[in-house]
Amino acid sequence: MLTLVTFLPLLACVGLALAPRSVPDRVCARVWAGTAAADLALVVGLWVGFDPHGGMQYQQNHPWIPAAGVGYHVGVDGLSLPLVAMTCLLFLATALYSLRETRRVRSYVCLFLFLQTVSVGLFVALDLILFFVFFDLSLVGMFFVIAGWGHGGRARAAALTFFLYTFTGSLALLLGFIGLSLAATPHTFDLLELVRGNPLAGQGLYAGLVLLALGVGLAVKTPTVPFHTWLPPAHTEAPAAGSAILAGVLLKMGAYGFVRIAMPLLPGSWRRYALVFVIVGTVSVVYGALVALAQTDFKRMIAYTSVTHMGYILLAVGAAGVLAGTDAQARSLAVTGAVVQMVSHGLLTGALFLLTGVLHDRGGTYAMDAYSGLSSHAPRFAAATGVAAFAGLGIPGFSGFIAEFQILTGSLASQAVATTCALTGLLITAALFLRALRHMFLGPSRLPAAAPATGFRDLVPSEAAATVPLLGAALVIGVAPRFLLDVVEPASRTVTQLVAR
Amino acid sequence: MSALLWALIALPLGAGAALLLSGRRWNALAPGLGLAAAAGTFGLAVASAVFRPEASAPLFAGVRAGLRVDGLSAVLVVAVAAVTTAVLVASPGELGPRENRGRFFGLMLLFAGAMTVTVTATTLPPLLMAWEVMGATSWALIGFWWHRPDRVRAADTAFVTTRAADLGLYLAAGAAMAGGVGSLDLTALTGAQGGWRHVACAGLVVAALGKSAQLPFSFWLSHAMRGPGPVSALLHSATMVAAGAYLLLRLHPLLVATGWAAPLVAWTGGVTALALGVVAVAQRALKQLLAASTSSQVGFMVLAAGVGDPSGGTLQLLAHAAAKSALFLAAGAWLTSLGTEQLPALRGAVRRHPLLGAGFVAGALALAGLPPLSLWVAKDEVLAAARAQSPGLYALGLAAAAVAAGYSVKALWYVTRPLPHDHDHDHDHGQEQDGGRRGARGPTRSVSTPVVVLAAAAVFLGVAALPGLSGPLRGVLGGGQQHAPNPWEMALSAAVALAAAGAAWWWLPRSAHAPRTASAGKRWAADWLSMERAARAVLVRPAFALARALAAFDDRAVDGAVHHLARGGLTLARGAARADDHGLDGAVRAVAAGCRRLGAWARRPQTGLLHQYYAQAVVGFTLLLSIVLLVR
Amino acid sequence: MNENLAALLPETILLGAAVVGLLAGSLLPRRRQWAVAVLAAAACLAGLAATAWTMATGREQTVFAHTFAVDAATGLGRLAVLGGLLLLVAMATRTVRSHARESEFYVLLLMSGAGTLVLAGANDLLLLFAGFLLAGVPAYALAAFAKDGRGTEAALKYYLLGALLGTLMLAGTAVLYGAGGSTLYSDLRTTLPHASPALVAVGSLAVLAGVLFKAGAVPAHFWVPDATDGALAPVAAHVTTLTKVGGLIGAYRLAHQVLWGTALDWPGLFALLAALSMSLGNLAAFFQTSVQRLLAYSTIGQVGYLLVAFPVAARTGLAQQSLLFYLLAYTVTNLGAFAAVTALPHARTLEDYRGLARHRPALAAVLVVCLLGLVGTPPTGVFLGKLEVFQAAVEGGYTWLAALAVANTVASLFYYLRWLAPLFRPAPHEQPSAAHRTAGRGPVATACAAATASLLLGLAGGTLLPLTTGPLLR
Repeated sequence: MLTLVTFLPLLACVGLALAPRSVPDRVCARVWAGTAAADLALVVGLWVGFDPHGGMQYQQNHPWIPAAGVGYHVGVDGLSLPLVAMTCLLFLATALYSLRETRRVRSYVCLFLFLQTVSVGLFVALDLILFFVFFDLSLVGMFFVIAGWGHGGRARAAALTFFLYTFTGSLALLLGFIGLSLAATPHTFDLLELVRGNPLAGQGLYAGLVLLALGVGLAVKTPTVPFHTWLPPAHTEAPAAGSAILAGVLLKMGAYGFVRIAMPLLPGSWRRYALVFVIVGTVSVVYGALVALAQTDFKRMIAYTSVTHMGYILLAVGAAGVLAGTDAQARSLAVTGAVVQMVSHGLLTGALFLLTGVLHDRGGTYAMDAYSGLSSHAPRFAAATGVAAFAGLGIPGFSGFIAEFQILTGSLASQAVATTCALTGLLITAALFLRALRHMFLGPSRLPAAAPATGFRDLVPSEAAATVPLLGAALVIGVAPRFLLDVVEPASRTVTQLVAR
Repeated sequence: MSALLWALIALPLGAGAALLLSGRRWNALAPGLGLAAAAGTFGLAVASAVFRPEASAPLFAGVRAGLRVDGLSAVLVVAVAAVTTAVLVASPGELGPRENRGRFFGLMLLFAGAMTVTVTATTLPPLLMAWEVMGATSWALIGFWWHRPDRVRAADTAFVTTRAADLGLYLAAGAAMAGGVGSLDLTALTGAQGGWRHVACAGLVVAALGKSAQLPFSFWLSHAMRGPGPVSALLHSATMVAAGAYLLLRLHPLLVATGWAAPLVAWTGGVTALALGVVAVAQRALKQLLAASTSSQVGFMVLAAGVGDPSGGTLQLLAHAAAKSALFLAAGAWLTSLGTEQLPALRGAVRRHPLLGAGFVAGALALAGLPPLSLWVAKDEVLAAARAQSPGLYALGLAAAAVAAGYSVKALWYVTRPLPHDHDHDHDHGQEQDGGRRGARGPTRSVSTPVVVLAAAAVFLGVAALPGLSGPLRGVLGGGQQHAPNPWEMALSAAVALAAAGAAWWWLPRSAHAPRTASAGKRWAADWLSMERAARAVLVRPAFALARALAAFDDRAVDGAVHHLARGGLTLARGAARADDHGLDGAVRAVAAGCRRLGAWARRPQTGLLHQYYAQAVVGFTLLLSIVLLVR
Repeated sequence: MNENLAALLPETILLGAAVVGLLAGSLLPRRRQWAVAVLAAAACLAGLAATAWTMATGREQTVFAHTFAVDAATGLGRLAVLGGLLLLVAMATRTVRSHARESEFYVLLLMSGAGTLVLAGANDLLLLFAGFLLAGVPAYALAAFAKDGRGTEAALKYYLLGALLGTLMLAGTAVLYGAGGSTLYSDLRTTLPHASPALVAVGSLAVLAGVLFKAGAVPAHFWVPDATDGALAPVAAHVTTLTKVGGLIGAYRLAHQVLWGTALDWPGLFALLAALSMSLGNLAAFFQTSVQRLLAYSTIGQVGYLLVAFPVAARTGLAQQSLLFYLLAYTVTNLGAFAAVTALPHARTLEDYRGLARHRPALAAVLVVCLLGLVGTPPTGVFLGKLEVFQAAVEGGYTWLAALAVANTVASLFYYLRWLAPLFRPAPHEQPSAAHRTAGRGPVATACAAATASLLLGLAGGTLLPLTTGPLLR
């Protein structure tokens, strides 16, 4: 079942690649949308049959390279299922958004289908090498998306920077994985076996080095300060759909890695160096927010807010590693918040990036001071962006609040100072989103010179169909979060217990 | 019973969301639908006040979202629903059919729903959620006319300022969790362990002071006045700003338990009551005057919370809500019809619209704290409690009461002057104020009726709290009898209010014609004590400077470092390539090319080239050999 | 004494086919010379079948007075070389079709292949040298096959450097014989530890010089860029890929069987060689504009990764496994890249590849798979090989070497991307440019087959990995 969910898009990709050249572009885009919808339906089926207290489910375990201890082992639990669902929803949204794409549609669609397989595969992987394979392939796919469909002359440079930087991170991750597997006897890359065996318990320096490698690898992808500088150029140059996937799904791979791999596999080192993650997370929150505040480019600004939002996750997982003076409830709350934040950020930032795509499509620029009073030209677009911005700044009623409240509430107990500093991130984010809204959407109307004479067209149905459901999902999570929390909470309790052992 | 409570919340929130989404589509229907929803909410609120329902739902692990209508909140839900209904009745006057009424009524209902949740919440998460939603709707309502950048900027300032204070609630939630109050129950906060109780309390106090526009956050309220009149009447006088005081009233046990918080809150309230009263006196625009007076009057409620007098504070809240929303609705109506809110230009406003004017006068008299109107009763109650704590607080409160009489009379004096002759002059003022956006339209009956009803409430609410008649109210609120004011206290405060009012009435005609040379102190007061300037200088500007500096740092240093690293690698690579290609191969190829030119018969060019290769290989292997021999 | 000739079946088949091919070539008319190619391919297939039979039936043995070992390493080497030869024959058909000496090409290829197999299986210094010559001499001729200026220059450089290092190797053999009293590894293993270390060092290093020359490792790499750039693409593929298989397996056998027992710090030396090779190769490849030259430097870098398995050979069983698997994966992947280059004979610089994805999507896909495979991107075979190598290095205590290899991998990504990125850039002209004219179906199909094999090796590597274990026979 999980294999089907994972590889269905790849099948469609191969099918399209082999299809005769006469297949029109529109059909390709529709095939993508159909595949994404089918995949999402399958995931909904998975969710329905999922038992929140059943631990790892839908497992499939086949030896792949037995000599090296590598297996094809997949499964979902409360940490990964929400991310799989979010990924499929976001890909469907992207597919709908891209129905109007006109440039080399077939390869574009194939790349995205490939990326979907890779993304889903990463979240269900329970083998470190399988995880790494998908981790690395996501870079390859995204590289071609940015290099091939990015706008502006710097797209290639940005893609190159992105690939080199994140590839470095991924290789650090690989070294860490090797270190992990070698510590186990017999050598294995199986995540669950490593969790059971906890082979690095009591190996001070060695475990610390492995954590360092893992930490750097995941931090680059997450990204956190100071490994974040690939993010703004990559986003600025990437096409809207690519940005949505990059921010919505690919960034989660790093954050998910912390919860899935670093915490349960290296509990001792995690506890010892938790403060490092707390500090890095807090700095990311405040620094990202402040730098975002100074941006004049809308898309770049959103890119920096991603650094902030990911910083919260790191703060939470770091705080969950500090045992002194905290009870299990607070730590589990923080981890739950971190997972919800991953889902929430995927939905909201995905929507925001798709909306910036609309902005660029109409006005040809992301510069905030080029626009003013867009609400009078495009009320639906303005309303959607406004809602997304408010949701992004963590207003209650949307998923961001559910995540950030849990993170901050759960982290304060163990990390009072850092969490208090991180609180200011909420304020700065609010200020910067309001500023952007004011500059671009409110006030007297003005359009950039590059805009077509016909004016600024409002959201067309395909764009609305891509963004509104994302915001709707965020709203549902914000208003009635139990359906999600019921799934996440048992899993995050397990993680906190594993860290505490 | 819990269904009743859920319905009480769901009705305004659901109806509000539906109207908001409909936008202009149902513009003609929006006022009717909005009013129906508000009236329905009022009915549900009354029923809740009678049946006292309780409800809760699981929210986070170990944390439930609890709601309950108890004595204090029963009064509040009814009051909120009543004021909302009254304000919505009056709204179509200012929000003409050409406006986006769906958005307006939707937002107002959303706000009312959020306020209802705020007052009924028993745990921190729902409180915080509703609290922040109030802030967001406030932003949208202040910036309702978003074509004007100044209004939007005002909305931004209000939202950011209140959100800065809201962070206190996040802090409080975290502290409660850390202190072992896993349920985040408001009543259990007192039991938080160790220092966490203090942290939680501090957070709550900051949040409450911020929302209630107490010092030092008051300035956002001045900006909030950029919004439509009904918004000011509902959010920025009667309900939202009172929410902070309400929270403090409710959390009095926690304030007491920390030791320091109760006096701090009391003194902050007292000082705000006095200082913002002075600010109100210095204002020349009606809405600004009313806004400052709101801060000042809410100061009395905060004072009541600090000294532990829930019934007095609640009475003050109710009386002020009625009086102030009536005044704001009238001010909004005049702004619409006369196009101005500058006091000198409002001369004779009362005479133009007698019914509306009567309502305004009654409200202003109540606001002045003149006996036997409601605010006089309420204030006496609060002052009695304050005297029990500290004579200083009592004196402060009395002074504030005197100032209240002063600014109320100031407003009253201007609007009751005889009609001026030069209408055009007035209109110029209007154009300057509001750009003449809306033509002069008479306030409809729809505004007058609610103003009169609210003013009547402001006049007669006091009866419920007079000594001897206050039994039922106290019964509802559950407060003790301990601080019933003495007759001499009531006489003293009455005398102070009357004297201050008389003095103001006597002094105003003289100052109104005096040359305009405002003293520095007066300018300071007129500028709302320069709080905003200070906040901008101390917080906002440094934050932006830091942001810009960090952005530059990010671009140059952090990103630069990465690129330097890459560049270093490239340089190294170039060196390696050159050594291999050019230094060696290039020279060699040049030699080879030269030799080829000399003659194809010469078969020796490659020999020259290979000498170099040979040398390299031999040197290399020799080095390796020495390494093998030397390193063992 | 075991003189079972059947154990040498693959080598014999290749040599026999070479002789038959030589005779046939002189008799057949020029139009029909393709028959020799078919013969060569058939020989490779037969050799592969023989190898498979040997490996399946577990006939590990040493033959001819223990001078030749038929074990797991030999088996894998045979698989790689014979499979590689098959691909080479397939990709070269168009390049040498109707050439005056078409049959000679295949004959030389087969002989050089046979020599490579000897290198891989040699358990004796003299046989090693024989393999060196048999693999080398036909390759020198092949390098000059095109008979143009560049090719001649390339061949001459290749030959003369080979001559020097071959001489050195022979001298080294003599020295070791003097020191240990034998040329047989199993004897040297017992005698050398008691001999003079200086003598052992000089002799061993001189012998290593020869095999390192075959492998194209620093400091015997100077011929690689020139020969690769100057020779025909299939020939370049042969000298940078197949001979490397023989050279590295030979070196590994020598190191493992003989050198480890001596008191010298051979692991350190090999670590140094690995570090130098990978760093130099990758860095020098950065600004190459000629694709063949770029691939040449990339192969030097790859030798560096392969050498990482050497220092830890004595400490972990993973070393041999990783080396052999990496070699196999590398052979297929590198040949895939060269096949793509062969398929586009008119595209010599990186800029010529611009817009290829639009006009030749299949070749672009092959390049993506093979070049990213060379970087070590999953799920290609080289990724698995690299993973094993890193694992071996970390387990063997050479974490710094693994880290250096990681850093080098990142650096290598840069130049591979310089090649890959133009593929997807819109070409300056809408019409396919002359550079995108292919040499025919054969090379394209070969390239696709190689890329597929590279992917399959990664995906199904688990089934092949057990073949790489098994002790080296003495």
